[in-house]
Order: sequence, then structure tokens, then C-alpha cells
Amino acid sequence: MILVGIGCSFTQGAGLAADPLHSYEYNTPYREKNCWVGQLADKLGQSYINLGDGGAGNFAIGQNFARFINYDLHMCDQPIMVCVGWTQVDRMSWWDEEAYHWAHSSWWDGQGLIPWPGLAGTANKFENSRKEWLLHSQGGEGDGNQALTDSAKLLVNSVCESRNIPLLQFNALGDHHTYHDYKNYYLPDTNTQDYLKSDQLIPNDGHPNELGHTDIASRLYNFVNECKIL
Amino acid sequence: MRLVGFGCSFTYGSELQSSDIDSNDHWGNTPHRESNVWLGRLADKLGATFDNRAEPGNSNYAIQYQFADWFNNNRNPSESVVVCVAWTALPRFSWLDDTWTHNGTVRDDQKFLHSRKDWITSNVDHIYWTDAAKLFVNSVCKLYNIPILQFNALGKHKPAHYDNYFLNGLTMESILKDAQQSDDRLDLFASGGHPNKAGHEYFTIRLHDFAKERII
Repeated sequence: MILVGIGCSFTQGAGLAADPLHSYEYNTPYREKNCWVGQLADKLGQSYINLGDGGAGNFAIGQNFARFINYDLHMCDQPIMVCVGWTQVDRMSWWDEEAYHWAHSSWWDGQGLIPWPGLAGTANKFENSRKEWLLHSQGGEGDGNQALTDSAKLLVNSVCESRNIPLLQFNALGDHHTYHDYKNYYLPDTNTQDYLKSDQLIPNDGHPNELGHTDIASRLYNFVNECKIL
Repeated sequence: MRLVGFGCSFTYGSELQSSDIDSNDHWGNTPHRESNVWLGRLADKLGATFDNRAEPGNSNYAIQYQFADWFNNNRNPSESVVVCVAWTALPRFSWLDDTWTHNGTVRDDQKFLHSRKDWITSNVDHIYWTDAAKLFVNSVCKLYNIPILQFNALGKHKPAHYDNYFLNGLTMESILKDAQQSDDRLDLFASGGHPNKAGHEYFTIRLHDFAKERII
């Protein structure tokens, strides 16, 4: 069984580093192993693929899931379990084919600046799209992008259930309302910020540290067993 | 039974204009348009009602969300429905505020002009959006036991492995063009390139046979 983790920075393991002075790529093995996906896979004795994408909204999560199912699933030599950490509703993303990754609205800060120079190249391509999205499309938690979140959840749940793919899901971030009584949804009315304590978070960052990811993985592990998901 | 239709101008019924109605009276022409487009013709042949949710210029990306909106907000689970989708050309995209704006209908003075420019320059392979939309609609229909009837109206689509896919890999447009080429007595298109009344009828006869065989 392969756990396929999909989500935002909370699934990517943002901020986890064996050596913060080294590059993102250098720290990838450590980050993925200590993120909740890696820790949950370890507890379950399974392997994993981490498709977490820092800054992704639920729209991009749904599209990343669809791409995995449409183009990558056939390459898996074992059955998969999809694990989704849903994120904030008020996010949007734009696909950069040339760079082959998304630009996410959450990359911009409150002043409309990109704090991370490495992302500026892709982000600048979509500066005007972002402005139009802010002007016309972005809504609060209760409207606007709610449709994108609802559709992403409907997509992931329908594909998994219709194909008998085990699914585990929870809210990493954001206030969520769901139309449907989806299966295997851990605490659908809460998110990780409701139960993670301050010593489980990276200071001045907000992402879970190793202890925070251990807490999430332990909760999900117990939930998997309670619900007999595997 | 109700047919719930999604698609582009080929499902909307663009250029189906009644000779009895002023061409500027768009809404007055709606009953004529909707009853003569393939969805209305098919409903008539099946003794069904229809709900035409198509938009001119629509993209497959928007079709996905229009279907989701119907499913989440307008579907009556106790009603017998067949979801009918005419997939459209791949190089299309749309943006949503209160309504959809499609890349083919954006004008210089309209919103999403920059989004359209960014989209054109950043998306080379448009297949992702169409493949995701097909995955979405088909999975929801399969899970909730909603019969689906689908075909390609426009575009270069690779053959799909989904249920009840009429003329898989071909398009409504190509079928009508081939028919015209093989029989020069046939006139199946209006001046703007959309199927005319005869074109919709020609296609619906074949779609009806397929629907009876597969679904009804």
C-alpha cells in the first residue's frame, strides 16, 4: 500500500529541516519523513508519496489529485490510499506550464509582495491574474472560492469511492463547510490549529514542527484504525 | 425523466434562430433554440423534459463547475435524470465571479482580460483541464448512479474510457462535416459554423439510437 499525501504546506512539511542552512532539496528526505504523511506511513508500515504543495488551495489540491489519477496512478505497483489535508477556502492558483508548477495566491503577502525571491519568477507571470481574481472572484470563507473547495472535495471523494480507493481526509487549515457527509473525514468541523499546541508549532511560522506532525499522524493513525480504513 | 445538459454553443443552440422572431429578441427565441438543439430534440424523442445549462464559449473546465453547481445546489435526488455532456474544444478556459467569463468571449473592455493573457502564455498543454473535468463528472455520476450520456461536440479529444461515450474520439462537428462531404444534398451548418436545425436533427437521430441502446 502506498499512501498518497495531497495538500498544502502542512502536507508538504514546510519548515521541517535537518539543517536549515542547507537547501530545500537537501532537506527533502528529512522533511518528507517527518511530515505527517511520512510519520503516518511509518506507523502503518506502508510506503508513501508526498504531493504536498506549499501555498496550494483546495482548487490546486483537486487538480493535483486529478493529475495523479489521470497520469501517474498506472505507474504505482501497489494499491494506494489517498490522504488529503484540506486547506483554506480563500485561495486560488494559476498553472505555469513552462515551470511545471502552480503559482498560489497565498505566496503574496498582505502588501502584495512575494517574501520568497525564489518564487517571484513564476509569481510575477500571474500578478495581473491575481489582481483580477482579488477584484472579481475571491470571496470569504462562506462564498466565492467555496465552490472551488466544494468541487475539489466532491472530485476526490467521488473518484476514490467509485474506484474503491481508501481515502483519509482532514482539515489542515481553514473553516470548512461540506455539502455531503463524506467518509473517513477526521474532525470535519475543526482544523489542526484547533488542537495543536504552541510547542508543536514552528515559532513565528505557524507550521507544525516535528512534534506537531507527530500529533497529527498519531490522531490520524488512531482514526484509520477506528474507521477500519485499511 | 429529465435530461440535464452541459456544453458549449453546440448545446446552447447558437444560430438556431426562429424566422418568426426578431433576431434581436434573444430571450424570445429561447424556446425555439432550446427545442431544436440536440438536447431538446433528444428529450422530445425520449418523451423527457430537459434542463439546458450550456453556455456559448464554454470550456470543459467551466462545465466541470457548472455540473458541480447543479449537483450540489439544484439536483433533486428523487428525480430521474440523465446527465448529458457535450465536451468542447480543449484550448478554452473560464473565470468565475457572479457568472462565467470564457476566454473566447473576453473583450478588451471586460474583466479577466489579463487573466486571459496570462492563461494563453502559461498554458501549453490544455489537456489537463479537460481530463480533470471528465474524471470529475464521470466519477460523480458513477458513484451516485446517475446515468450519463456524453460525446465530443468540438475539439481534438483522445478516446476516453468512460461509460456511454457516443462516437468516442470523434466530434459532433466532424460527423456533420463528413456527412455533408459524402452527400452534397445535405446542409447541416449555419453561416457561423454551428449546426443548423437540420444538423441537430441529423446528429440527434444517431444519438437517440445510442441512448436507447445504452441507457434508456
